[in-house]
Amino acid sequence: MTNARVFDPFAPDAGQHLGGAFDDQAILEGPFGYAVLGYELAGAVLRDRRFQNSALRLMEQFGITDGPVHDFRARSIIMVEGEPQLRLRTPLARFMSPVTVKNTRAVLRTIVEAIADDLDDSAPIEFHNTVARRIPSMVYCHLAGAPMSDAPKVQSISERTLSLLSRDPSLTPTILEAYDELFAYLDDLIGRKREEGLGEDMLSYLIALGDEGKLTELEVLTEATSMLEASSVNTAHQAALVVWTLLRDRNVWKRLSSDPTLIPAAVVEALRLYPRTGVVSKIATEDVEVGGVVIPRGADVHVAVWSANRDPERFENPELFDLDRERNQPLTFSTGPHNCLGQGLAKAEIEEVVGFLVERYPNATVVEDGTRVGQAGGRWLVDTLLVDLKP
Amino acid sequence: MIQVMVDFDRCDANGTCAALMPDVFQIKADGQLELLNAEIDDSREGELEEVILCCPVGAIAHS
Repeated sequence: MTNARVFDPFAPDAGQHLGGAFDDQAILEGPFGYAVLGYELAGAVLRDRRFQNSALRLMEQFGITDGPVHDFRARSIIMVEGEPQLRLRTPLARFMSPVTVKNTRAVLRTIVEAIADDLDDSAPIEFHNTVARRIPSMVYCHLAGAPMSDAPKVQSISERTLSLLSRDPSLTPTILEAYDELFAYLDDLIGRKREEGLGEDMLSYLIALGDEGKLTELEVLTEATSMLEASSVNTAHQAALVVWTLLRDRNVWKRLSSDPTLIPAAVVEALRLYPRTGVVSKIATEDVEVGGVVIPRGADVHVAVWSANRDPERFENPELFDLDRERNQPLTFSTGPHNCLGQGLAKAEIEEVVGFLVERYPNATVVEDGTRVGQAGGRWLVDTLLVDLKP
Repeated sequence: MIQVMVDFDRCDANGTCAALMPDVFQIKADGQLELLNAEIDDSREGELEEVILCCPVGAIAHS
């Protein structure tokens, strides 16, 4: 396909593609493998169990071909299918679903307020580092029943382990070291919890499932590891992306100020336009036909979530921020059997951040000079976000 | 009897419900969710509560 020469989902200028099919093709082949660009096909691939997550292959490409980190990834929830996957999924799901999260709202608010109390709002603040990056690890500590003082360590471990996704093999030693730290931290935390007695938190629940024989000891560790590595970095970037999107649309921001009940819809719409995880990469485990194209076994299939989220076949005027979209189901947290289990928690956290800003700093603005937001390696990321809280 | 309700505008067919109550929820061959039984016996309220709690998108409710 000639189009592949001018379209690469990982290219820095990939975002210039407006979304949906490229030259009428919702799936393209290129040197990178296959790229799925249309919403319907993207959903179909994400729901199809014949496509497996490429995280293990990515690790192997980084030279991590055996040892504890490789073994962890191979048995982790994103890689396994069938009964073992479901056994791993429900214990995590029940602590992060929208229903459970209702009870966590007050804690989220306290965390946001505690961070805000540290801010000097007399001058513009760098929002990503001073606010967005700090929240998720504190939420993790609450959820895992770890002391809040562990939050900086959790944040650092999550950021370094997931640097795998930046697709830079020179980071291999950093990544291996971060996982070593993670395993040691969990060993210690689980030991501490056993000494102090199990509580109502998620980690205690996992340990109890292990004690009851419903999860193996290895599964308990795998679950806890997955939860920690995924805890911080993506949520932090996504929260900053949402704030960046909403603050720059003054009409929307005014509507949110006058009617905060619109915040959840506004968050979903911002998630649609600027998904942190812009590409979800899979591998075909057998020959699969997708949209008239036969993808051979072993091929890389990159689902371009950012393109699917702006597919004009699915979203009217996709480039516009529209607070009133009905059935707004972007693929930002993926979909199907491997959807993001933390999405209920992430959305609630972002809603609380936006709600806090709208209430306390209704006139806040983005200082464009000093803000760098971009797309790299298929992901949207916030380098710096300068916000003037009281202009 | 308890009415089982699925908000299909939210549902993303991740299948957690189908794993927990396979006689009530099923992922079809096309990957989408099908509600097999819209009514269940009162004795199964606890099971359904667990399903509601575990749905990552909050798409399930009961009467």
